[in-house]
Amino acid sequence: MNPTLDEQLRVTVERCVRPIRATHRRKDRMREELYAHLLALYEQQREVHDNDEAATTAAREQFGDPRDIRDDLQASVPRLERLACVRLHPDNAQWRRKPDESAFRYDLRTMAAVTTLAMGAYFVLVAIGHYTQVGAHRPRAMTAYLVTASLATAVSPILFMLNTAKRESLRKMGQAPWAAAVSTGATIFATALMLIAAITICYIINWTANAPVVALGSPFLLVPLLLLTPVLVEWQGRDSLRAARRFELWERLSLE
Amino acid sequence: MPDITGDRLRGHLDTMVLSVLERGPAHGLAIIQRIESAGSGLLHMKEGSLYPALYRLEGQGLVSAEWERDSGGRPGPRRKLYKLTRKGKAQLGRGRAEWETFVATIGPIVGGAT
Repeated sequence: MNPTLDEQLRVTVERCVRPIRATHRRKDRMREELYAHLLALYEQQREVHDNDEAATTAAREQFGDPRDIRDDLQASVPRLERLACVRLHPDNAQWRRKPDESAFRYDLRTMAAVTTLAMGAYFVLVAIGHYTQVGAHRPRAMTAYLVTASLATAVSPILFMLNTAKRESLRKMGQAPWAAAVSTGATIFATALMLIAAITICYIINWTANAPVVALGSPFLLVPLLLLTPVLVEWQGRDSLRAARRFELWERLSLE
Repeated sequence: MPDITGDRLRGHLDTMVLSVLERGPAHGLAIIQRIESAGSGLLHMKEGSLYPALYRLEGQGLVSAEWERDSGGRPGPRRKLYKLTRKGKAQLGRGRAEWETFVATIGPIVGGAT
């Protein structure tokens, strides 16, 4: 098939999929399936029409209006996933790499911002817990683990959203594979820092009379992290260079 | 007889998909072909609208999907094969009962029997 006409089919798919709020993994799957379907329609139409262009137009017509399909596709995404994939604006100056800024400095600056924000949110949650019923009852060590682990898990979506913004910003600069690696690394790094802070806070507010028990038990805090990290990586759907490159091919298409 | 298209099909799409999958697993294009051939050439749907329905049904556990292992020499991207689940079969039974009630109730009114 003529590459220009192939691009027309891809643009039709991209008009349906790109605006959807869903994980990259889900969107990749939608793209692959819709594109396979459109190609099959094109093959069918090619037997009827005597030229490629007419066959492409007929296939797109038979496929339907991308706006309607997009709305229906969006409705098929679970509500929680839609919420988690709300994009922070990638053009926000805070997340944009400055022209003369080194990659290392940029990474450090954005990771520090992500960690500060996440720890701020975490501290507020811990303070609320401490000054309300949880604090009043002086929970035992196991309760402290559970509360801390739950809070760490609750804060994770913030990390996820902020790293998504950063990744989108990098993607716009044409640095998709680099963005995938940095984004995943930053998420793990920031979550680890947050957990260290969580253990420290446990000591400071003396949630347990036996501090060494908390210290020995702190590896348990890593359980939600260990469970969460692959989920985040999987969710982002860009944990490999191959996935990132495939994603980039689609996202580079101009929909104008 | 006029063709049946658009919104008139949408309301029944889920049950129609479950019904054609009862005959065996199929990918998107084959599902459309089964629906259209069963409709004696009167059913015409915009084909892209099938996928949101399939994703919805998959999310509800009514169908399961897996990537096609053997493309049979067909070039191009992979396709997903959809299969009716046990839950889907039960839902299909309910969908058919609802449809029969609908036809039994509305049919005489529209047909002018009342």
